[in-house]
Amino acid sequence: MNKEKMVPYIFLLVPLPITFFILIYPALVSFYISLTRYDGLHPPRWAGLDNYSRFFSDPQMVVDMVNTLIWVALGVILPFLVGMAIAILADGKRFEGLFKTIVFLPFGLSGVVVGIMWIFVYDPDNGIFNIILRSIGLDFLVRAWLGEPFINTFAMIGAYIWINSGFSLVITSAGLRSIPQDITDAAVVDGLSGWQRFRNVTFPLLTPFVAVIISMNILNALKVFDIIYVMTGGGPFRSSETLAVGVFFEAFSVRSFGYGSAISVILFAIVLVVSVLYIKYSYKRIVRY
Amino acid sequence: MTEEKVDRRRYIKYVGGAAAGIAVGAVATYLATRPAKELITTTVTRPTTQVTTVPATPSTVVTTATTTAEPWGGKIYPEIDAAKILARYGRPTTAEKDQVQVNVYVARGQTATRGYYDIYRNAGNPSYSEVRNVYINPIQYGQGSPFAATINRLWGTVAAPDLTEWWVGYPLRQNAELGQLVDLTEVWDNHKDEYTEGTRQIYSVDGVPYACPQITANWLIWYNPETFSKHGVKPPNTWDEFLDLLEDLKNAGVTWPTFMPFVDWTGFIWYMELLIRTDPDFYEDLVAGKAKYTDPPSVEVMEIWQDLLKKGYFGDLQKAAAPGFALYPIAPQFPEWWLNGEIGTLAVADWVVSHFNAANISTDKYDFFVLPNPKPEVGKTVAVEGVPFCAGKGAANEEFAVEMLDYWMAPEIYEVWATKVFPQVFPNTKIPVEKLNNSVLEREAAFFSEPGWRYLTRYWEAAPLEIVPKAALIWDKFAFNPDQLDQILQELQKLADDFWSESSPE
Repeated sequence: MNKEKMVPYIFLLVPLPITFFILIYPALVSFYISLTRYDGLHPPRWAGLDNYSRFFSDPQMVVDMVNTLIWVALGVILPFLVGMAIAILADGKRFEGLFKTIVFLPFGLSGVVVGIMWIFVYDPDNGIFNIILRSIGLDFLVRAWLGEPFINTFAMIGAYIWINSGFSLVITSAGLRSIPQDITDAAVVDGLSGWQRFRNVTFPLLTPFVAVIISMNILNALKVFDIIYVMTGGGPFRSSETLAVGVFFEAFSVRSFGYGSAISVILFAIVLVVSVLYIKYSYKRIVRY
Repeated sequence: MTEEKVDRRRYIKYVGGAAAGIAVGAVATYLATRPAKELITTTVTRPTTQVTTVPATPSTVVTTATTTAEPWGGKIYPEIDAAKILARYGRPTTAEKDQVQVNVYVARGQTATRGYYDIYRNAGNPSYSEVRNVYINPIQYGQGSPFAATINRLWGTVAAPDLTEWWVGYPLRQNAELGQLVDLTEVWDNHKDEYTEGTRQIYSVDGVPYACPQITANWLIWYNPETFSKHGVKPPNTWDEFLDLLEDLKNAGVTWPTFMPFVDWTGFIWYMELLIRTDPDFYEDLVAGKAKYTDPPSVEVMEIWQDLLKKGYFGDLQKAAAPGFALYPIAPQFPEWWLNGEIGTLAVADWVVSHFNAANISTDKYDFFVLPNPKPEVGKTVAVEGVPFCAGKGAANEEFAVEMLDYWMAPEIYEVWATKVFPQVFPNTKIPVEKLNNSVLEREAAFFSEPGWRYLTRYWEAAPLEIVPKAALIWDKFAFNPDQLDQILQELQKLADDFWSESSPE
């Protein structure tokens, strides 16, 4: 192999070991732990697939799966729709930069900070949310948004949409910039209305960007942890717990590292399958003119 | 789009530039976050309060400390003679040639961390650290679960903690049986005239002490005498009087006749309080896995609790499950609710006094009673929460850690901790009760000095950690769904069966 062909491999000498020790090795150890009974104190004892069969018979995991699916369903679509809508509506308008900056700013905050902020927003007595509801005569909707099982999941998704709409906005804006002006002009000349232009020209040309947004949103929604942990801790009584939060609870609160690792392996498998399927599906549908 | 070949030189230039930028950033970050030179601050009480800051040169720091001295730095209790205390317990009184740093793992936050500094570095003139050239290095964690997971990985290794906060009860037993803790019999024997046998047993496993007290808290029912006076009620002496009290408070419109956030860890409290007062022997069997949650004594307690829930004595539970509505750390609005009379009673440990102090709530606005027994024949029982220090076997500074615990348990030293940092009834009986300087805690000390009390380890420590957090959440669920009594009991028993059926944890 000549020197020139060796150069890329030399540059890989640093990141590859780092990736192995930070990512691959812990994943392999986690998979091994998932096949054991391990409390972090005594040596691990081989358990085979017991932790995995326990997962499929644990009623709490049904709750976790349902909550995870709710997060995926709403946490993927809604931030995408909100971000895209703002990008399209603000495109080319006055103060476009200001609108987009305001919507994008929350994306720069950490999930922990956002969670703490929205705890105050949802405070039953002094939160701005309930204050607004009371002020517009919707007192019957006033409640402890984060204290009520099931409702609290949707309340947290509201905070999640607030953060992640910015990501969709930025990607969609980049996509809009990439659409050739002559195609849009031709659509105008052909007499298409705004909605028809969006449906037949703009959106199809945005499909590569939509694929990126949706696939990133799926990944993030499947493994969301920080917002839930800060806002409700998965409670009350694990009613808002997702698989990712369940991993932490089983491993660190209950000291079932084997079971927690099994849940994390299952979650990883779900993320992998969904991501691969979606990317394969979406890239087939990318439209190029 | 045409592909552009990447020029090798430009590539190396960019990578080199990025690496240089990272290196500069790392150096800048290090310089910016380097710990500042330690200053010792002295607060001198004069007609106008003045703060004097002097550089940390121990030989020049001789000030007149006052009881208003800042807990962080400054000489406190200058009359303490560290060398004399060490000599009393047969410990060395000369300085080590090379400075020793004893790692102390903390899960209780900044207040505790500062307190530890005060005990060893600033209490006395000179202090323990100045006499022995042995200093503490607190390593602080913010949360119990990751803290416990980390410490469990360190026990029995070369990185075993010199000293750490820990738990009594089942966790202590597990670590002791694995030979991971230092046997502290010598330390407790040095102090045998100072601590009762009952206190010693809380920190022991099968009669061998493996821990020293840091916080010893009795679980009581707290109330605001002003709130009671306003509604014309008084502390109950019997169970029926307690029920009448709750009913009266509810009818008077008190938001929470009894305040209990059913979120996170607190779900076990009422079950524990009722069970130790109906069948304490069953309680001890239950936490040891020798009795079932579905057995009649447990069912009876759950039915009593169900009755309290259905009568609405726990107030608005949805609100009680909202974030921040907690006992530890306490809800931010707690002082306001307490003083406004929105809280009728509160079942919690006496460490709640530290919250009252932090909120400047005076002793005329809080007091306690012991929950009357639903079964009067049971006798006097109280749940005790013991928060200990443990020393890791084989730790790098094991001998210094044990010496520091011996010093910590001395009456002069424990008094500093228990009055300046974490108010509690002194487990060291040689400390005069009036040093508590808190009429409520003094009354508590007198109350429990009477004979005949049976102390039971709090459920959270008494039962295995593999059961406790899940059980607490199952009880939270019961509070919201009191009609699901049978299902709740089945869930609890399944949880216990899953654990106890295995020969070792998980």
